[in-house]
This record gives sequence, C-alpha cells and structure tokens, in this order.
Amino acid sequence: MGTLLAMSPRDEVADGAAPPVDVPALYRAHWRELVRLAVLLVDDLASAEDVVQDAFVALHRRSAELRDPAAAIGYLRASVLNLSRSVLRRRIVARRHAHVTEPMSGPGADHDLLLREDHRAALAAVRRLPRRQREVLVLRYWSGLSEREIAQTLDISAGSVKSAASRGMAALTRMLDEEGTR
Amino acid sequence: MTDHELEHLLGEAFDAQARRVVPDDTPVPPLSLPASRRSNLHWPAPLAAAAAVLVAVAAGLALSYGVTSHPSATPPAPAPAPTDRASQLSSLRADPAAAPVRVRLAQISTGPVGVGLPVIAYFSAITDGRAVQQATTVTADGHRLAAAWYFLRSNAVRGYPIEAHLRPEHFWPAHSTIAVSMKLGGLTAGHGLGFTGNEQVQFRTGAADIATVSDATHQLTLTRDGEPAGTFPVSLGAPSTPTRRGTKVIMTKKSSICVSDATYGECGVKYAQRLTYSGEYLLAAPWNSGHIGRIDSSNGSTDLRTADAARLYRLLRVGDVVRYPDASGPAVGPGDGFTDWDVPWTKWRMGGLVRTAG
Repeated sequence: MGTLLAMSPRDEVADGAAPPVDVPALYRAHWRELVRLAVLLVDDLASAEDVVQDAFVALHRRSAELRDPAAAIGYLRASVLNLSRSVLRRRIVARRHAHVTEPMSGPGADHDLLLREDHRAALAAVRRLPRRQREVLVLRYWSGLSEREIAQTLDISAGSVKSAASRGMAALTRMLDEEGTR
Repeated sequence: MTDHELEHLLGEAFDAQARRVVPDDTPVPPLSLPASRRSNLHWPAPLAAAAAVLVAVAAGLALSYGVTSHPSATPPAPAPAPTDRASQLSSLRADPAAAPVRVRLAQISTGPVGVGLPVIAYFSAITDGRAVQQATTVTADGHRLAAAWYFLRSNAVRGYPIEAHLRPEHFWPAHSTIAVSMKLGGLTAGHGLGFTGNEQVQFRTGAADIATVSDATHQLTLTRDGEPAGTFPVSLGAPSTPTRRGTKVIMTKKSSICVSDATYGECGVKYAQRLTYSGEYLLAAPWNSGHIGRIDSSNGSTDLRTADAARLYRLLRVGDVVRYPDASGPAVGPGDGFTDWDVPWTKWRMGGLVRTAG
C-alpha cells in the first residue's frame, strides 16, 4: 500500500526516472472499486460516478509527478473521500434551501427491495452516523484498510481513527438494537 | 449483537449494497480527461474541452446502441425440457439473436412475511409478458397455487424500468412456504428480447394479520388468523390531506423516521410502518393525541397513540395487510407501494403494462 507522502512535491522525480503512472490503465482497473466506495459514502450512483470521474481528472493533472501506481491508488481513494464529502455538503445546503428533509414520494435508498432486510437496516443506521465515523467504518469493513492506512487516507491520526471506529460501532449497536425487528 | 457479529453484518451489507448499485458486469464508462498541460497537441483550452466533450458524446452513443441493437454475445440457452405446457411455450421461444433481458427479484425479508406481500421482479426491458406468466409456477407447501404477474413502470432500480408483481387472487395462505419458479431461459420477452436464465424465490408467510381502519369510527381493528387481536383509536388525514382508500400493505418498519412535506419537517417520529410510496404510515403521533379516536387531522398517515403504535409495531410485520374501506381520499392503485390487492382478478390477469394472456 502506497502512502500519500510519496506524492508530496519534494518527492517529485526529475524527467528520465520511472515513467508517469498510466491513468487510463488505472481507470480501467479501479473504476468499479472506486465507484462502489463512493456509493457507500454518497448513496446514489450518479453522484458516485461524478466523484470518481473528478478523482481521475485530479490524478491526471498530477500524473507527471506520480511514479508509483500504489501511491496513485492511495491518492485516488483520498480524492474520492474528499469529493464525496463535498457532494454531501452541497446536498445539505440544497436541502436547507428547499425546506425538505427526505423526499416523501418515490422509492428511496432506505427501502431498496433488492437488499436483505438486515442489510437495509444496517445501511440505514450507517447513514445516520456522523460523517467521519461512517467514512472510517466503510474504509475498515468494506475497503479492508488497516488503521494506519485509514489514517493516511483521511489525513487524521491513528488515534482519531480508533475512536471514530469505536464510537461508530457503539452507535450502530444502539440503533440496531432499538430497531428490534421481530 | 456482539462487535464481531456487527463487523460481519457491516461487511456483508456494504458488499451487498456496492454490488447492487454497481454489479460486476457494469461496463466501465469511457474516461474523459481534460487535455493535459503537457499535451503534444497544444490545443487552445476551449477547443480541447470541446474535443473531450465530443469524445464523450460519441462514446455515449456507441454505448447506448450497443445495449439495444447489438446481438447477444452469448445466445440465450435452449428452451427448457418439454413440459405439459411445452406447446404453449414453444411459440414463445426467443429469436436466437434476441438481446438478453436482465431480471432481478426483490429480497424482501429473511423471516416470515405477511400474507399481503407481492413477489416483485424488475426487468431491464420487456414488451410481452406471456412467457413470464406461462413459465412461472407457484406452490404453497408443495401444492400448486394460481398466481399472476402484473407489470408497471418502475423507478426503483436503475437500469430496470419495468417491475412486475406476482399475487394470487386472494392473499397468500398463512403459515406456508411459498415457492416461485420462473423457467425463463430461452423464452421471449417481446420482439428482439430474450431471457437467458431461470429465476426462483422462496419465502414463508406468518399469521394472517388483517388490520381494518374505519374512518367512521376512527378505529383500527386487527384480526390475526381470523381472531380479534385488538382495537386502536386513530386519526386519519385532514380534509386537505385525506388518507387514501383501499388495501395497503406494510412495506418497511422503522423505530424512528423523519417526515416532511413542502412546508415542514420533523424527525424522531416513532414506530413508523410505511404503507405507500406517497408517504402514508402507521405511526405514533403524540402531537395529535387530542384528535386520535375523534377527528381526522393528520397529514394522511394513520396517527396512533404512542403506546398503541408501539404495540402494533411489535405485532405487525412487513407484508401485513391494512385496509381502509371508507377513507375519504382517492383509491390507491398499483405503483404506490404493495397496493396490488384491489385490482380485480380478471383485470390483474391481463398483465397491466404488457400483456400476459392470449
């Protein structure tokens, strides 16, 4: 797993070293995984696809500086997290102006009939977590990242990762116990 | 739930959601990047941007044509072995060059469900439902049961613009195992459209819970397997937001939800059991306690006292039936939830959006 440090400007390599990363090849290999990651953070496919497209555009702008494909994946993942956060922020602002919380009509993400009932309940509870806790749990239990890798992706300390994870798990346990489907 | 169980559940739920929204066979869309600063072409930026747009548009066109007109790479499997309905089905074989149709079945619940829950299938395309109807067999505890599909437009699942609901004439038998088999492989879904695989689903029904809500008496009366199981005072929709008339079915249960309309929103609404996509629930409405049992003043939902809403939340399950024979609003119809049961059986068997008979 590459680290974000590998991409800081002081690591830029002069022309003539390893070739720049192959952005189209990374795109073909990682598009699906990254869109899935974004879906778990922003809930809808259209926004997730936009997030991933923008992440690759950002990578493309820096591709000349990046030589290590593993570092490039770390960079993409961190971009997906940042861009997903912006999507959610814009959504909250739009909602505030519209004076509406959840749309009352049309099937929403919380009663998706292609998912098992217990999975739906778990996902609905995750959606109610504070942003940071949700991010940590998705990176831990879906992406399978270690605490250290999550800390690098989110640019926070390992201690913050640990406490966000344990507070998130406690909140989920409480919500799912309350839900108590019979 | 232990931490370990929760970790396992989370991993499964994330994976299920990720694969549902982005299935393994999702084609990777074309990548469109702005022309690089270091590009050898040195196009002025606006021109380069325009070129990128052109590339994206062309790729989009190729993609959409590919879906509809390109012959299937893997031809549909041969029709299933002859059965007693072989001659009927043989006339419904797909053209070998037909484009494959994708089908997904809803997974409503792992536990027992109420007797009013339809089986729901989503289709990527279909213009003729006769093969679906004829290739479907339904049994209840091993005995054949007559059931029919009814098709309608859908926006529930991306890429599946049509859904169909399967129901018997009356509700499912209670305390039974219902098995649905769809031997679709090789059959037609309409001109140039064919099914490539079979589908099946099985579920169990619990007790026959039927709630009947009277607007005249402002009471909800529950029967379980025909026996009285409680009476609960309610307040239905105010004249400006009347509760819809007809037979509804519990779609989801949430211990706490946010509700809203154009002008107000409120969170922390408890014991909410959803009945329609349009937003009717059974719910605890402590703010309306003075009117419950006496006056219609809700936003369309069925307002209950908190203790009663909690009791019904524990008693009822997804798929249980809630009837509103004399509510003042317009009648519910297919498409507003699992609101299928008021369509007359003779009409239901015609198939709705696409024909299933003849």
